[in-house]
Amino acid sequence: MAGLLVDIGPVMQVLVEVPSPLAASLNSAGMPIPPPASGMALIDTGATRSAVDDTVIKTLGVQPIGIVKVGTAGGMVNQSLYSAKFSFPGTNLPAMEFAQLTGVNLQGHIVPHLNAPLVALIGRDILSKFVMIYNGPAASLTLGF
Amino acid sequence: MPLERELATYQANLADWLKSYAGKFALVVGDKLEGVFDTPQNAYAVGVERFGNIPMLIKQIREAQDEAAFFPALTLGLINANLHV
Repeated sequence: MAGLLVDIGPVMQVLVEVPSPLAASLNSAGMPIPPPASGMALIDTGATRSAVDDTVIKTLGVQPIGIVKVGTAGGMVNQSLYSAKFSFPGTNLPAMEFAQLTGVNLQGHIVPHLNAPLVALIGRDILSKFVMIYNGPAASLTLGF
Repeated sequence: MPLERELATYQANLADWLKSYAGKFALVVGDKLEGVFDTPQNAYAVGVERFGNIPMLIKQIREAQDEAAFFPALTLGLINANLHV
């Protein structure tokens, strides 16, 4: 049982949506609101910030609101920041409005066993608001808020 | 690079803005400061309401500008590594 959590990591289903102010703006203009993108979010305690796949956020039509330097093996590179809304189907976690998500390239990362694309990383900026219990022997992860 | 003009505007005016708005979040569109806000969420909401869905810079007004983000598992290629011991 523990092997599954080892293999796929602490992941949960996520819907990536346009941020609420943008949805309201599109709605009032009579324009369609892009449907949410579904995929998996990896809880990444090594990530300083939460992140979203930049292809996914661009497909939603969300425009950048900032630039952040991201450390890579090859040095620092500039990445765009975006606003977005995450919701977590099948959990009682509240939907979250992210003011400044880092856009990163997660293309090609498929979560093993679930055969679902990885579209987001949940970093320490959000984890700072939760109590997380990683129960390895039981292969379970609990997020309390 | 996106937001190049906005970032240049921010850098050119930072010293002045620090005197009055330190800690607030600036909303910059083109070469103009469109407002200062207590939270980035408020800045974005006003920006979208005023300008629609366009690139805009929302950045905290502060002296230290060396903020960086790190995603070691991603940047080192360790996501989905499926290590077995």
